[in-house]
Amino acid sequence: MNKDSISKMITIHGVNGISLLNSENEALLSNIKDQQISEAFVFLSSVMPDLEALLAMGAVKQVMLKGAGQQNLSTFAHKKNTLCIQSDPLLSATLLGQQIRSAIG
Amino acid sequence: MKSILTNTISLKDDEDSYLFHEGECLEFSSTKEQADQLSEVALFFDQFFSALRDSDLLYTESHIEVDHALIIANILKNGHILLTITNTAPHAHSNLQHKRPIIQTPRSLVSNKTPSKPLDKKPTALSESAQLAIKKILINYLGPASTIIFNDVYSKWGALEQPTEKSRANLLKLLAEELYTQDEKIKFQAKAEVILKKY
Repeated sequence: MNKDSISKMITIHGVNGISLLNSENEALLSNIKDQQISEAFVFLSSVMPDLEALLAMGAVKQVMLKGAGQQNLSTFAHKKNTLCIQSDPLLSATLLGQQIRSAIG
Repeated sequence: MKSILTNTISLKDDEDSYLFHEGECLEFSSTKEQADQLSEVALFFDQFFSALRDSDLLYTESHIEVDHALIIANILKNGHILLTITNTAPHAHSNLQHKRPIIQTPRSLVSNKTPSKPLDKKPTALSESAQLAIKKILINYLGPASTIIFNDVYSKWGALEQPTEKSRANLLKLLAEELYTQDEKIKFQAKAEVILKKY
């Protein structure tokens, strides 16, 4: 993932924040200022391996959290890192996933 | 009485839904075997949404995309977990359209109620369900970081000694070291020991 990919993601309509976590769940880059959201992403990223093992349905590609009046929080597995996206509730998981994967290339 | 599933959702041909309460499947649109296999997934989401709520993150729905399926987990107002699994394989629709599931309840199929048996993928000194139960206790002290800390300590335990049922107490001591106060350490160990006796 390079700067161009990140730039493309930031311009996706409805995307409000991006963070990239390494395998230790440390932020390699982030424009998310809300500490609570950042912690939620770390939590989400940390439970993805447990979820993948429990489901036993193959690799978990994307996880999205939704809640009334909340910004959606999505994580995407990218190599050993986790890409975290904060987005508007109206942006669907499918559409966001397609656009993010297109931006990653 | 109409089932909760038929009252709340309309299933498509390639979808199956399961309604759980504390890991026990109350209703399902597929087979009991599949419902049993998802018991631990439902327990996971119990704890997952609970951890989010404890951190004042009011999320109630999670979409998980895997290779050929989309899993949607909802926590309902009554605390039930609703799992909906959609087969997204290219020919899923044509393969499954003959099978429009009929909503079933486990009790209608099993006369003597037997608890769902979690299916551990491999035998370990601490089953996945026991690990999840201990993580749930840790969340009360360490918040969202509890899973990371548990996994680190669990690995450390495995490196220090051959994990066995007898050495599980040492795992609890290692985990207790991660807590801040003596009071927390004592309370955590007491609760976790109760959990270990159950598994």
